[in-house]
Amino acid sequence: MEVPIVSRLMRMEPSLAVLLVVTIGAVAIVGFVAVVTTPVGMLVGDSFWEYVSAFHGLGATVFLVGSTIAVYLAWRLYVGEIRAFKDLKVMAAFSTVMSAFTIGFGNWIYMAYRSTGGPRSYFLETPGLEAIHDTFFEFKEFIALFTLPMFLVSTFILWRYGDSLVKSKEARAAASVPLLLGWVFLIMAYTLGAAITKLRGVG
Amino acid sequence: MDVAHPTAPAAEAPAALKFPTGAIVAALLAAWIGLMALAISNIAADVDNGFKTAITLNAGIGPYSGKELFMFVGWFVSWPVLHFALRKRDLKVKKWFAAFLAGVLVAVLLMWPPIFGAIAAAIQGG
Repeated sequence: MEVPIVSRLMRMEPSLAVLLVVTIGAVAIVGFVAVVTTPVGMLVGDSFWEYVSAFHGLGATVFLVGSTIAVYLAWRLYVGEIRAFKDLKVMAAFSTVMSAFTIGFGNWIYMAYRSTGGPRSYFLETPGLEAIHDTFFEFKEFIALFTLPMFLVSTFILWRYGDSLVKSKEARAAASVPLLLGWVFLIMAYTLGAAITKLRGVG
Repeated sequence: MDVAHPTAPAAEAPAALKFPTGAIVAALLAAWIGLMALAISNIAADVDNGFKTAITLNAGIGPYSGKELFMFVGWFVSWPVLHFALRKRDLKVKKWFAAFLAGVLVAVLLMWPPIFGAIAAAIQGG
């Protein structure tokens, strides 16, 4: 027996809004179940600095996801085949905001890194680990800053010139390549940050 | 009268961007100036302890605070200046963009600790 309402719903094209609400709802339900049935907080830690560190890492991860989408769209722009130009503008702006957010939390957590008994003194005082701070962390803290100018330059060009950029090969390159460079700098900072945190996190 | 080609062939016409290209060049140059300000202040702090102390604006993050300030001041002061100076000019993006890429490469190399450490040691030795 055919139920008219159900069969009609089955034939309907789900709108993007409905798909978004269903996805967010599903994630929220899974998240809620995880939080009430397991000690999720233990994964973060219970000190103040561990929470700051978690926000820094979370911000960097969201930045990485958003900028990866932006880089793909920037590639489409670079080769002159972009259709979702508005999406590129939005994702570039979003990545710029996330860069600033992550740098801000990075400055905050750097205080814990440099504090007495923190990871920096551990690396410098442990024979064989000096280079972790002297080379890798020093480079990480600087290259992370490079992401902001790269993403902001691209965002500025994309928003100021709009889709008129598509007509100029050189302008397309100027708008898209800094975004790619910023993404490469982000990958460097992200992997170094993860590796260093694995060796010694803030507590 | 030849009406088929009233103007130059389309292939030779400049691309119709919404604004002159000067603002693109200004944005690229300003970003590069910021990065170089960061790189130079970092080397200067390695060379001179007095400078390192002077740019320690926040005890928590040490001289990194002053280095960041140099970058942001260099970037955000030069950007409006260059923008208003160049925004009405049509500059060759290809040439300036190539210079920007080369400049970013130099800035990255100057931030690599073995390189900036060697430069600082050479300046101190000299």
